[in-house]
Order: sequence, then structure tokens, then C-alpha cells
Amino acid sequence: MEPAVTTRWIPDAVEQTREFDDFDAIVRLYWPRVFRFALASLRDRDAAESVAQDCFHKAYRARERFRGDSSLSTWLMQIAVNLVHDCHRNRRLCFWNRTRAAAPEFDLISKSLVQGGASPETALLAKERIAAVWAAVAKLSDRQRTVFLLRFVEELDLLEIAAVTGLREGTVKVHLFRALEAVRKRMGENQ
Amino acid sequence: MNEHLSPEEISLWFAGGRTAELERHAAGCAECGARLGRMDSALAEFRESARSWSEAQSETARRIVWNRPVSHMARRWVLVAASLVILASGPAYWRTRQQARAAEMAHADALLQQVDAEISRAVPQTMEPLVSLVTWGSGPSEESQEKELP
Repeated sequence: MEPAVTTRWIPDAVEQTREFDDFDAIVRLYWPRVFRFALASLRDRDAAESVAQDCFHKAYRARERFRGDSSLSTWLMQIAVNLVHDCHRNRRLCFWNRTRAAAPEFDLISKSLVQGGASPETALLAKERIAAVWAAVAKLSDRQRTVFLLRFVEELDLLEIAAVTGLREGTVKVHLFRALEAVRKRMGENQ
Repeated sequence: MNEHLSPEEISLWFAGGRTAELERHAAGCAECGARLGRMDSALAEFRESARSWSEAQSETARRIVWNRPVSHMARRWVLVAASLVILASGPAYWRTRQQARAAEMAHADALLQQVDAEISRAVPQTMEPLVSLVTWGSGPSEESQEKELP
């Protein structure tokens, strides 16, 4: 693995270590993000719940070793990314697990678009676009998918993604470019 | 830059590789602006779908109570306490068991004595009242025989 780049945060180690005093509050604050990332990566609610649970257990056990080199959020996402990778690796060994991937609820988003004032045609087109992006994301390599989800779902910038994944910023950009190429082609945006 | 943005340049734009030249062209070209807009809204819709899906799915996940893992130190103390309880309760258990065994033996002895007594009876228990009425031997006693002798 390539060495992590220096992040733009200057974290206050003492302050961050103090945050561990109320670990339940940390769980409440970061659980949605960790769970969302795991769910989008694995497309399996049970596996995503396990990843989120394991992530916080690992963080709790390792809290003494947290040096504050990165933000708490980045540190938790690093753990989550590693757990998701482990999960993917285990899934590849257990081929029957591949069939468990769930489909996101596209109807949910199209309904919310219609409720938001969009016409049914617009909502249908949006639903098709979303389905195309999800289908493209499912075909990406683990690394590309991770980078894509961190950028476009979690809205991390390239340096943050580099810190979370342990990749160089340039490598993150390459993975992101390839992922976007796959998504764009799937959407039929080839002109 | 007179030509439209290439598909690769569109991907590069969203991968963090937008240059001043690309931005200038996109600002002045309606077609490229529309293509960038389509891609941007597709990515925004995708983000929204991921978030809505996650929120819907985490309705059940919220019910999960965060169980703080027991620390190694606490686990060690629990093991030590359990060992002490076992060690302390050992002699008491042994004593109780010995007492129970002694009581059992005493009961068994009493039973055996009772059995011995039953076996050593000359007549059955139901006939014992008759024994007190009847003297043993049907003939006259030795004293009366001596008196009758000349």
C-alpha cells in the first residue's frame, strides 16, 4: 500500500482524544456515515450493520492508540474502508454470497422527486439515470468503487479520500477518473 | 479552445482535473455546459438515492444498541472474581457433602439394625401377644415332677 499523504487538517490530538470520553456520542454521530458507506459498498443491509458494529468496536478497542494524526471521522472511515475490503474479499471466497446484493430503492427517490414537484416523466428519467449509475458502480473494482462512493456520496475531497484509503492523491484521481468513465459510458454519455 | 469537451475531459472535470481552459470553454459553450449539467445532476441524484436508501434501511439499524465491549482489564477482574468464588465455595461444598454422607451412613446403619432385629425374632411380631400367655413346653414343670416323686 502506498504511504498516506499528509492531510490538510491540523488535528488537535488532545481535544480529539478527549472526544473518546463520550464514545456513545461518537457512535450516534458517525454511525449513519459508516453505515451508509458500508451499505452502498456491499448492498447488503445485514453486512453493512455488521461492518458498522465492527468498525465502532475496533475503534473503541484501539482508542488508546489513536494519535490524532487525522480527524476522528477520517480514522473511523479508514477502519470502515478496511472492513468493507475484508468483506469483499470474503465474499469472493464464498460465491453464494454474491446473490445477496440488494437493489437500492429507486422507487423511493422517484417518489420523492414527484413529491418535490417534478413531472412523472422527469422522475422516470431520473430513476433510469440513478439505476444506470448504480449498475456501473456495481461493476467497478473495489478500489474504484470505494473512491467513487467517498467522493460522490460522502462528498470527501481528494485529500480526504487519500487519507482514508492510504493512497496518493494522484492515484485517487486516476481511480476516480476510471470510475467516472465507466459511469459515463453506462449512462450513454459518449458524445 | 474551439472544440467541444471530449468525453474523457468530462470525466476528468468531475475527477478533480478541471483546468482554467476547460472552465472557460464550459462557460461559453451551451452544449458542453448542458453535458456537464447532466452528469452533475446524475451524480447528485445518485448521492440522494444512496442517502435515502441508507436512511430507510437504518430504521432497523437504529434499534441496534451500541454495546460497549468489555475491556480486557474488566474481563480479567471478572475471571479473578469467579476463580475466588469457586475456591472459596470448594471447602464449604466439601463439608456439606461429608455431612450429607455421614447422615446417609447413619440412616443406613439404623436400617440394618432394624433388619437384624426383625430377623432375630423367635416369633413373628403379630404373634408376640400370644407368647406372653403361653409358657414354653406343654408338660409339668421340673419342680412339680420332683414333688410327685416318692
